Amino acid sequence: MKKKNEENHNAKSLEESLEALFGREEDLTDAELDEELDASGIDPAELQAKVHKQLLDYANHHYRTLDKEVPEKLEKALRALRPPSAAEKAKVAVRSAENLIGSFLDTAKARSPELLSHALPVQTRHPQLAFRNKKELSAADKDLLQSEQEDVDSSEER
Amino acid sequence: MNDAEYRRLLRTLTARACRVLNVATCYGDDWLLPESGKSPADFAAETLIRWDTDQLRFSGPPEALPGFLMTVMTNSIISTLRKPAVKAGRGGKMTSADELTEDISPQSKPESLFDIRSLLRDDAFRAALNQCIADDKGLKEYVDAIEIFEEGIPAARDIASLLDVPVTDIYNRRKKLARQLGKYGFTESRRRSQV
Repeated sequence: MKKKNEENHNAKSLEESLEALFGREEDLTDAELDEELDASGIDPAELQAKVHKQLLDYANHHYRTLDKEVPEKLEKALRALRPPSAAEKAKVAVRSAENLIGSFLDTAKARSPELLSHALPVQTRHPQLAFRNKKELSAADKDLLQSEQEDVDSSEER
Repeated sequence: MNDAEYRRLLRTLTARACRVLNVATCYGDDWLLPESGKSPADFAAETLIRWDTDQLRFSGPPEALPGFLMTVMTNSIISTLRKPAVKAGRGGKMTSADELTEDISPQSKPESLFDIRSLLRDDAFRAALNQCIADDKGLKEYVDAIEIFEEGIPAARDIASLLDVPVTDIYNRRKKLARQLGKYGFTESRRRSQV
């Protein structure tokens, strides 16, 4: 009992020392946690897969092979840590590709005037009305066509 | 606890195990290495198995569970460190327990590991810490500030007021120091086999 109390006291002191130096792990965001694990050479996905295997081996060895029921909490833990199936991985990949393309298009749309101002000559920076969309000729157009026609006719006569 | 919370719990426990083992590895006249050959992930998994199979009793509020499990795991790491351990030279060469049969000298006791003053006074730990903060003025300033407080463990706000910086700045320096220790705490060869 005395040894246990001493160990608890030591653990508490060590925790306090660690907290004073590095802060509390619980205060880290998910991204910060991953960053810290990564700094120690631990890949969070590999970690999850490894611990899932350890829990699965434990469940098989201590319960399933003995035909005993796996405790509910352990079942839940196995579900939580289960590595994603191939279909789930593909789904995630598709979703992240869609997000990437979406954000690319949004950026392009938002910055298009700025980008076009550098990339295109001055005459084409503003959208022009396509000639084929004109339903009727204006008086100016008719005059222009007429004068062009007259030029052609006169050159033929010569 | 939902699935995401459980996954976070695993990562939090592993981060704690890394910190304890990193500090223990840097500490003492000889490096203390747990003979069990357990990695931080092993300690985290062991603790989760004990919890998931009702080997641990906890009656506090759910939000206090991660803290409780971290204390349990820290205890377990300390117990491992107390066992006749494998020593490794500073060169990084690990020696297995079998090869140590002729070494009857007492093993390094981790007692002083539990007190921040003793930790900071320990030459080996200080050398490792200096390596972590060598290129970072902010971290150096932070560690020096902790040493100034002779009594007890300084709170973040005490250090912030001493350095005349916002308290969030101190939180960020702590996080950075933990990452630096992670980078320097393990040799490359150990890092590869760690998970």
